[in-house]
Amino acid sequence: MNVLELFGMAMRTVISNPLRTILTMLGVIIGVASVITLVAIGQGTAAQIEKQYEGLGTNLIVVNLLGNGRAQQLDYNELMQIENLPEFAAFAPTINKSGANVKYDRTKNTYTVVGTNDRYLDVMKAEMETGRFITEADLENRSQVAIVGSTVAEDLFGSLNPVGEEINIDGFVYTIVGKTKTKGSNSTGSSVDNSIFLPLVSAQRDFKLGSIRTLNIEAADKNNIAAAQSTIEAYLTNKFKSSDGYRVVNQDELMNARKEASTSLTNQLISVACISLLVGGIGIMNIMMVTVSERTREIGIRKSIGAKRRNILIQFLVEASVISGLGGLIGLLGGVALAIAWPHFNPSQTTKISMDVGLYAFLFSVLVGVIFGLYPANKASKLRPIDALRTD
Amino acid sequence: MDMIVLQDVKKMYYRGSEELPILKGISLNVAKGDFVGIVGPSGSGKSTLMNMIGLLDVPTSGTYTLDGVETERMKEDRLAELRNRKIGFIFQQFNLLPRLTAVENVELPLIYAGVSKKARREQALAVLESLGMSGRGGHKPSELSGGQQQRVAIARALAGSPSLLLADEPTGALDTKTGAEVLELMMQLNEAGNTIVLITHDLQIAANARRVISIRDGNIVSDERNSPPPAAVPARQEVVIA
Repeated sequence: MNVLELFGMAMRTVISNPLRTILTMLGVIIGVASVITLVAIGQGTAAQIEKQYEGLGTNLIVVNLLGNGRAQQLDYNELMQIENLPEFAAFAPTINKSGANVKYDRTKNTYTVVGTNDRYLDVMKAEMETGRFITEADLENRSQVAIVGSTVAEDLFGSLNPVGEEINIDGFVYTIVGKTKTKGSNSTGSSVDNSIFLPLVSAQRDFKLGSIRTLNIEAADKNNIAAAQSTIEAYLTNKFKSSDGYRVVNQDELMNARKEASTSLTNQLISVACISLLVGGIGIMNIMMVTVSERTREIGIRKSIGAKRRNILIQFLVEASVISGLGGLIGLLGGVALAIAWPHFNPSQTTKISMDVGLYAFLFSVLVGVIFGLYPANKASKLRPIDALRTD
Repeated sequence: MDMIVLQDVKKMYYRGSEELPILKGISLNVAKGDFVGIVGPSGSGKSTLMNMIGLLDVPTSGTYTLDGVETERMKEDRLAELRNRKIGFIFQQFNLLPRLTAVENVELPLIYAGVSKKARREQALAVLESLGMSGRGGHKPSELSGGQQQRVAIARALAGSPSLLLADEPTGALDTKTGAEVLELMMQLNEAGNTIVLITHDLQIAANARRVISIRDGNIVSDERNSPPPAAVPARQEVVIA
């Protein structure tokens, strides 16, 4: 009897009791469907995270200075000397003042004020909508100029062009020279749209912000961020005589950390789904045991007619794997359908269906049938024909 | 050469430490082409004897040669192969597989003999037709009468062209008329050259055989011949019963 005939025979047996078959399959169906759906959600989330970081550029390194002591101050001019090293493309140091009171005409609001240099826009992959950003001349002249983010511009000026208008920030008057394009919030939570940018020195002077707190670095080589990172680390450690005063993170690390968190959660869920597959396998084994004892007489007849142990073993093994394989197939279709439907119910999430995983889940379900069918099939094959014929 | 040669066959069953002899040393030769009825009351050991002859069970001691093949110390799978090739079983309860159609039931021994799908379907249909069952091949056993079911079972026994037909109370589940018909069919099969061993508790049924062996308490108590065995064994012919 060839494989196709064995399969056909098993199909007929399995179909002859549809309710029992479906109930037996249920564990496998749920297991396979949840593995596929969860993997799709997990991969969708990972892709989403990647997209968020893509906006920032993967060659961004962020240095945060932790301490307040005099020993841990960075000198702007010295920093800009280091920027000339080949590992670096651009340095954009920043100082922040959050909750600054901003007035224009009768409108009042609080925003984050960022003091920075002319490189900031490039390093953060932001763009101007109108006007210009900070220039080197602004830095030298300590100009009282400001660039507003798109949200700030909308709050204060509505649809009017803000360029040329004067705003009052904590009592100091600044002239707006530009407005940035809407960028959306990035992974680090800070938003260009919600900020007002001033020349670094002007901000230091007016708001008594002291030394540079953050240094955004664009590495020269996207594929060798590590070189840039170790150079800046060596410089800082040497300058502060300690490696405790600062923290350096690159976008890759941030992205990978978030991806890892999402992956480990997905993996945990998948292992729960795998347990369901396992339980499904036990269900199959249970039903196969019942089937074998129900069909003892059939086994006896087949053996008396000339079936060898192998024939009986294969017959029941194929039956068990047909049940689990069919369950796997239904689970596969159900899982794909669920993965497609998922974003419609959870608009913030995307899913990415992986056919590889589908195939593996299906093959695994067949394997579950074979493994859990082995014991009952072996039991059936060992029945002695006279004992099997004697039962009614 | 005889079809069946049993020499001092003993069978013991063990209940705890107690030893129960079921067959106490049976020696028996059955000629090719003969029709032997084995009779005995229940508990006489005739079913055990049938299991021995049918290679479903092995003797505790003694030897059994079937159609020239010595069967002692044979492994389970080898016995299965021998059953498949040399023995056609006819059971009291027909023992058809309920999920399969008549023709599929008849095909079963051919499946295990490794006959190709097309050839075995042709063979099975031919045997069914020769037993007057053409047109019933597609029916499930539950759709057939007892007599028809037993004919399908006989067709299944004949399908692999075995050396020996082994019938265990083949009329036991049938009414008198149908039983007589089945018995008539078996006599015709014997006329056509099939060696038959029929086991029954009913002396009247056994009386249809050429040779009647009575067994009681695990021993042969009488061995009578009603009609001589066919002098020369004819080549087995196809039987066609209208």
